[in-house]
This record gives sequence, structure tokens and C-alpha cells, in this order.
Amino acid sequence: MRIEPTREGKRFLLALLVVGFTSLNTGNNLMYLTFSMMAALFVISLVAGFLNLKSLQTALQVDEPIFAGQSKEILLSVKNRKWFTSYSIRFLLEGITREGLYIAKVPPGNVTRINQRVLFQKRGVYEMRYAIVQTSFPFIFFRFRQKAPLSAGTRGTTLRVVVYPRLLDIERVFGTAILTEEQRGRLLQTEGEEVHSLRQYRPGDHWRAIHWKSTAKRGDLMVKEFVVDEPERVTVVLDNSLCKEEEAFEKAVSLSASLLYEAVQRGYSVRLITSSKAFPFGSGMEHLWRMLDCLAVLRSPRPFEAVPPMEEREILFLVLPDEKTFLGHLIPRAERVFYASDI
Amino acid sequence: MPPIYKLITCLVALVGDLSLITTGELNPLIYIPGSLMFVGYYRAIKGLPQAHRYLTGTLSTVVLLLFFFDAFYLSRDIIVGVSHMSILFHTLKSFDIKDPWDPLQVFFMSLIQLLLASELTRSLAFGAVFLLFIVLIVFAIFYSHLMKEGVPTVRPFLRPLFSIMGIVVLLTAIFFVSTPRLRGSLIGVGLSRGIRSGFSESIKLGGLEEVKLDPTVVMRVTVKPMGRPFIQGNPLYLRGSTFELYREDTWIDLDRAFQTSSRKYRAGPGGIVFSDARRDLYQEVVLEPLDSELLFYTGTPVMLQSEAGEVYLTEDGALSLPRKRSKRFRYIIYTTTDPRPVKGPLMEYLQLPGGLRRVKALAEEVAGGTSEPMQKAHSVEAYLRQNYTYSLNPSRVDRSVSPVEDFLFNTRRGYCEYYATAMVLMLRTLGIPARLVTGYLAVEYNQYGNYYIVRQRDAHTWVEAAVDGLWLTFDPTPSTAEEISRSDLLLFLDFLKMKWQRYVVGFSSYDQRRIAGLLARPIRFGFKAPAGRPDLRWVVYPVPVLFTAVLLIYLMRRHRLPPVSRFFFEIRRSLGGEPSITGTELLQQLPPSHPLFGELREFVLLYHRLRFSPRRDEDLFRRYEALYRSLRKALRGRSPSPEVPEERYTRNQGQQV
Repeated sequence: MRIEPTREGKRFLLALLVVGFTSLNTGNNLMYLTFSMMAALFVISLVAGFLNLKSLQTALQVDEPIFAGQSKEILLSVKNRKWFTSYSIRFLLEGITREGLYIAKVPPGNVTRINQRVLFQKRGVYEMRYAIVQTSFPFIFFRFRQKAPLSAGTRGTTLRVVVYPRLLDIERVFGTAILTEEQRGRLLQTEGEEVHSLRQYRPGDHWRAIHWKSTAKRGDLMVKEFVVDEPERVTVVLDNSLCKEEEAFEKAVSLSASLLYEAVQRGYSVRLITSSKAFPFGSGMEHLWRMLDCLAVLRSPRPFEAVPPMEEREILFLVLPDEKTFLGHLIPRAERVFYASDI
Repeated sequence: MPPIYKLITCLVALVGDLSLITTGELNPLIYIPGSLMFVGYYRAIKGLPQAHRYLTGTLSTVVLLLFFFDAFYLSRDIIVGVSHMSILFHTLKSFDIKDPWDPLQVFFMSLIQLLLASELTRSLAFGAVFLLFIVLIVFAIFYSHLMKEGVPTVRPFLRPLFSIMGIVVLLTAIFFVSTPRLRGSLIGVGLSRGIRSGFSESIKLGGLEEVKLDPTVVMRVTVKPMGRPFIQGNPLYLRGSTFELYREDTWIDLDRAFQTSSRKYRAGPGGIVFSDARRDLYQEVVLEPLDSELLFYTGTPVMLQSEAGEVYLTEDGALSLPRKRSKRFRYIIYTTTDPRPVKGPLMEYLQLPGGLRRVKALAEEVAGGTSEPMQKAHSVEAYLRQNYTYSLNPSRVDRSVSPVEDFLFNTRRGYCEYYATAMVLMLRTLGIPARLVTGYLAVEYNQYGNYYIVRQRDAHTWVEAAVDGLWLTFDPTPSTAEEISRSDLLLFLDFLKMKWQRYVVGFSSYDQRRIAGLLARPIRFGFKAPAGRPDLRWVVYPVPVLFTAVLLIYLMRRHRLPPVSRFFFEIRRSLGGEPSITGTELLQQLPPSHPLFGELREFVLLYHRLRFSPRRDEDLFRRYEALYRSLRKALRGRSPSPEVPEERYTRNQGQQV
């Protein structure tokens, strides 16, 4: 445990020494009385602050997934294993919150929980083994700090929070939908085997597609939508080989993540190709998180060793930080080329 | 900054000012600017604009200049000057409460005021203000902490706050008692402002009038008999010194003036022992600072316990310290009530100034035909008591004669000095050795603390005459002194003052040693080990120490279990279950035919519910506890207890499950 005297504490200590010496010198018992009171305040400040932080066990839970720029709720649980209450404690979570989380009191034997919305500014992996527990209770003379292991975190003894790249509202950014109506239409159809969702009846829909149960329930004609047997494939190629400008690079990463997110949400079979790593086609959220994990930590530019071959039916999105690229040969093939510097 | 914090700041400042005001040393004019503080804090609490920093800066400079003028020209006292300045600064600051740092400056200033007050006064009022200050300062700095943490209310912290206040008071007392004291100052000269009263080695007749009107308390004396009967509350003669030589209307104490017969006594392990005579009286005296080195007592001294390393005792019984004391002095003296035997030559006690023929004639007339010295002395004493009037304003009638003759033959009015002088001279003219004794006649008894309050006006002179080989006391002054009737409240207040003076203001290293002795041996045994057997009384002492240690260890155990788990673990242990098995496994170990199976099943069920439920259900817990007790009794071989609150539990269980 680290004990740091505050500015007030240093001055008080100086005053205590002066009054102590004066009392000793004069032998004035009333001065001794004042000195004793000051000494009592000083000692209580030390002892109470020290005991206040003893035997606290902390656990942190974060509501995942987390995207940069989004505020998410974090839940801090504190267990007091002493026989007396701890008061006025601040938990500093380095890199997550600047002010920390403040708990007024933690009764003995109990678990006290506190939640707070926290804004994660940057993508990346936040690893925490400890929370810094801090208090200056009961007075303002000392600041006590100690590391409290996050023993019951979400991922074992070390809390590992992956913050995915910032998601962009692509349609708002680019003014048009990334996926055309035709592309969207190709995604779902009213015939097939695997039911994806229900929607309102549109003229032209086959009567066999009507879902009678929900129609009866809603009083409106509802039809079943089926997933296409072979979903369309989307490839997002992010050229991170040359970009040296951080801002443009971050935008490119965000844009790639947003494209992947939207495509997976729409049921496409998606893959991501970067100079560091290339993913095979896949669908579903698990596949998306794997790709986003990669984008969350994507850092230094590395040259492309080889670009996997493109297929006929796939929709290719090319994300380039700027106009300099080794992937110029893919531009004619791409459905759309995004320049991060334009965002 | 919340208004409550400003209000606390105002109160701390007020208590700081109050500590100085109660000293009575300040110039009353300072109260006018001082009271403007209320306006300042009213504005601050109401959130009105605060003074501009240029204005406060300029006024602060003015206050500083005023301080120099005050300290060196007006009050001519640095401490009083600083006190005035601190009150003015408090007022200025009250108009400048803007930042969270500002209240802290006020707290610090109030602390300085408290220190100044401790140098200016020794009164009980300081104690009251001090207690108030502790309460407020703890609250104030506790609130500062909350302010720093951004907590708007103190409500959730009231319990720790009051606990801390209590601990601060307790620790203050402990530190006060245990902080080492030095007998002298390390640097500089002490600024003593104690009460002083005159008691010199020569007294001029008629010089005590002023003293006899002074109600200032000089000492407080507790007397306890040690064998011989003693009636508490009866007048008590506390002797100081004796005077032998009477010349030119002045009495001179030859022993003190010329250090003739005084003998030095040094302190031993138990105190200063003067003789091995029987100890009849225990007297504990708290003496205010006096312009004298004398120590007062009644009887003949046997032993003295005090801080003094050495004292002087004359043949006449004048007990004195090597030098005058500027501080309050406490001592315990053991005396015997037996009269002093007459020793050595008595010539000096028969000394007479010239021209006392009329006095001698009067003495012989009063003594009549008796030849017994005792009879003569009693006759003179009775004559003076019956034929003269007590007065504190005995105006002279004939200045051509001595004051004693004027008293005896013209005015026939006077106070103790006149009576005693007249008796001593009359006895000497009759050939009886006599001397004048000065001291105090304690008549004011405080039944709350069982002690005598001795004031300046109780200063008294009486006579000792050498009769039948003993020095006997005679008091020719008629007891016409006004009746002392003080209200119970005043007596109680004086009792508090005595305790304050004795245990706070007068606390000394001697007291520290006594407390240390008491702590080392807190128990006094009324029995002794039989002869030849080892004394095992010391065995008792480690018991409370061990008990306290065990209690502390128990309370401070790091992993003290909550009752829900503790009950389960205990039952599991009683059933011989391994620490690793769960409740269900424990249940499985017991055959369903076992008489405790039903209770145990419910116990385990409740354990799971209470242990893993986020909120504790009190009704369930009560049932759980009852089951635990019942099982524990049964497992110890007793029958299960029927006292299980079944009904309420069932009803609640129905609602919750």
C-alpha cells in the first residue's frame, strides 16, 4: 500500500511538529492538549485510511461487445472481507476511466456493486490485472493507494477488454447505401428451407409464403422470408500496407469494420483481407467477432505477401487509406472503392 | 461549495474567536470588526458575490500594519496583538470564501487562535471551547474530504463520523497523558501569566487590607484523616511562615531572611521525608502561582510528595521551595497533628521593641493573678476576642503611638494582624515566648469535591506560644468573618475548575509516573501469599492482556466468515463431513431414516438459498439460525429444540418460492 501525504497533510504535519516542540518547550498543558488533538487527528488519519483499504476484493465486468466511441456500462463489484465497513473509496481503472468509480461504503462481508457508463475512445485491447483502490478517508491528510486484483473478471484473473473499431453509419457517411437494392434482394427470398424472418405481405408474394399463425395474431398478412441457400459473398480488402498517417489509417480500419458488421448483419458470407491476416469466408456473429478482433489490434503496416484470388460472385469492397496502394489491380474488379481520406 | 460547508467554516471560525474572547485579555474594541464576520458568512451562505481579491489584499496589508501598531504601542503584547490580528483576518476571510481551499485556511487560523488562547488563559472555559473545537474540526475536515470526493451529503457517513469524533477525544486524552513533559524550557523564557499574590518574609502591620478583600483563589486543599478524627468542613489553619522579630511596626521572619535554621531536604524514592512521626493527615494542595516559595499545610510535616527535588524546612516549620514558582504547583503532604515541641533557645521569641509599658501593664492586668503560662495565654486570647471589634478599615486615631498601641488603647478595631501582633507582644511582656504565624484560614468547604477553597481574603495571622514545652496555637481574632454561603452551582463549577486545573492544566510528569504505575499494577490485592509460599499474585496480570490480545485477533481475523457459511461449516464439521463436500453431498451421506434428516434437508436448502441469494431474507435467516441451533444441540447429544418459528416462515416461503 502506498501512502502519500497530500498538500494539506504536509502542512498539517509541519504544524504538528511546531506545536509539539512549542508544547515541550513551554510545558504549557493547554498547548499539550491542542498538540494531542492534532496528533490524534493525524494518527486516525493514518490508521483509518490504512484499515479502510484492507481486505477488499474487486471484480469488474464490462458489457461486451464494445466499439470505440460507444459508451458502455461497466460493473464493479467490491467485496469487503473485513469485520467493519469501508468508506469513501475510489477505484481507478487505468485507461478506462479517468475519475474512477466512487463507492461511499462497503459493508462488512457484503458485495457492493456499482455501475457506470464509460466511453471507450480508441480501439484496442485493454488488459487489466489490478484496479487501483484509493482513499483519503477520513480526512484529507493522506492518500492511500493499493492494487486490488480483479480476481473475478470476465476472462479469468486478467480483465481483457477488446474494443472494436468505431462503427460508422455508412449510409450517412457516403450518402448512398453500400449494398444496392438488388444486392439486398439477393439476400432473402420467399422460397427456401431455412426461415430467416417474417415481414409484411407485398404484392407478388406467393400465398405459400404466408405465415398463417402470425397473420392471425396480428390481423395482417405476414410472409416468411427464407435464407438463400448460397448467400452472396462479400470481401473486404483493407490495404494497411502503406498507410503512415494514423488518422487515415484509423478511418480505414473503422470503415472496414463497419462494412463487415453490416454485411454480416445482412447474412452475407464475409471475409476480411488485410496485409497482416486474411480470413476465409464465413457468416454469423462468431465469425464477425474474430474479424473484428483482428481489426481491433491491427497496428503496423505490413506489405501484402499475397492477395487471395477473388471469386466471380463475390462483392468486393476495397478500403484504401489513400490513393497510394499496391492493390491497384483490384480497383476495376471492386464493387466499390473507399478512400479513408475522403471520410 | 454547499452552504452547510460554509456554515461549518463559520462555526469553526466562531469557536476560534471564542477561544480568544474567553481569555478576557483582548481589547473589547476588537469585537466590533470581529462581529462583521457574521455578515461575511451570511453573504457566503446565501451565495452572494464575494469581495474582490484586490480589496481583501489591501485590507490584509492594513491589518498587518495595525498589528505592528497594536503589538508595540497599543496592547504592548505580541500574543494579544496576534490574537487581535487573527480575529480581523477571520472577518476578512469571511468575505472571501470562494475556493475549496479557503475553508481550510479558516480551520488553520482557528487552530492558531486556540494555541494563542492556551497561552493567554488557564480557565475552565478553554476546556469547553476546546471540546467544541474538536467536534467541529473533525466534522469540518471530514466534510472537506467529502467535498474533495464530490460527495454532496454527509448523511451516509454519520456513523463513522461520530465514531471518529469519539476516537479523537479518546486519543487526545491518551496522547495528553502520555506525551513526555520537560521540567524546563528548551529555548527562551516562558510567558507565564498566572495569578500572583504576595507572601514575603517581612510584613508591615496594616499591609494586608487589600489582600483581605481579594476573592482570588489561592489554593484548593483536600484533607483526608489517617487514623485520628478530623471533621471535614471545620476551619483549617494552613501555616506558611512564622515571624519572630518585631521592629518599627514590621514583623520579620529571621529564618527566611537570614537562612539561619532552615534545613535542606532532598527527595527520596517515596518523596521527601522530614521525620518518622505518625502520619495523621493527608493533604493534597493545588497551589496557584504565588509570589512566594512557601508551601502551606496544617500540622507538623512528616513527608512531602511533589515534583520538587528539594525543599527547605525551618525549625519553626516554614516549608519552602528553593525558588518562587511561576506555575501552578501541586503537592501532597503528610502531617502529624501533635504540637511541635519547643527546641533550642527561646530568646528571639521574647524580643520586644521599646516603649511598650502600657502594653505590658495591660497584659499583666488581663493575666490577673495567675502564674500559669497556659492560663495567661488563654486570658489574653479571650480578652482580645471579647473586647475588640473586627474591622478591615481600622483608621488610626493617634499617629504618635505605634499601630499596636493605637489598636489596643484607641481604635480598638482591627483585623487578624493587629490581634495577633497585640497578643504576641502581650505574651512576650508576660515572659511567655510567642511568635506570629501567617498563612491561611480555610473556611470555605466544597462538599462536591470534598476540598477547601482558599482565597486571598482567607490570609490570616495567628499566634503560637511556647507553653509547657510545646508550641500551642492561639487565635485571638474573633470569628466575625462574613458567613460563606455560595450556591450549589458555584460550588459545583469550582469543583469542575479544580479538576480542570488539577488534571489538565496542572498535569505533570509526576502524574504520568503515577498512571504508569497504575497501568503496571492495575489490581490491588487484599490478600497476601502465606508465609513460605511463592507469591503468585503476578499471575493475574497477564490474564487481561492475553484476553485483550485474543479478542483483538478474533475481531481482526482476515477471513471472518459471514454467519450463513459459518453455521453450515459448523454443522458439516459436526457431522464429520469433509471441508470439500457440498450441502447436497452432505445430505446424501445421511440415510433418510436418520432422525435429523428432515431438519438437515431443510437446513441445507436454506443454506443454498441464503448463501447464493443476492439479498438476505431476514425471515429465512431466522429459520435457518433456529435450525442451526436445533441441529447443533442434537448433534451434541441433546434433543432438538422445538423453538423454531415455523408459522411465519411457512407463510413467507409460500410467497417467495
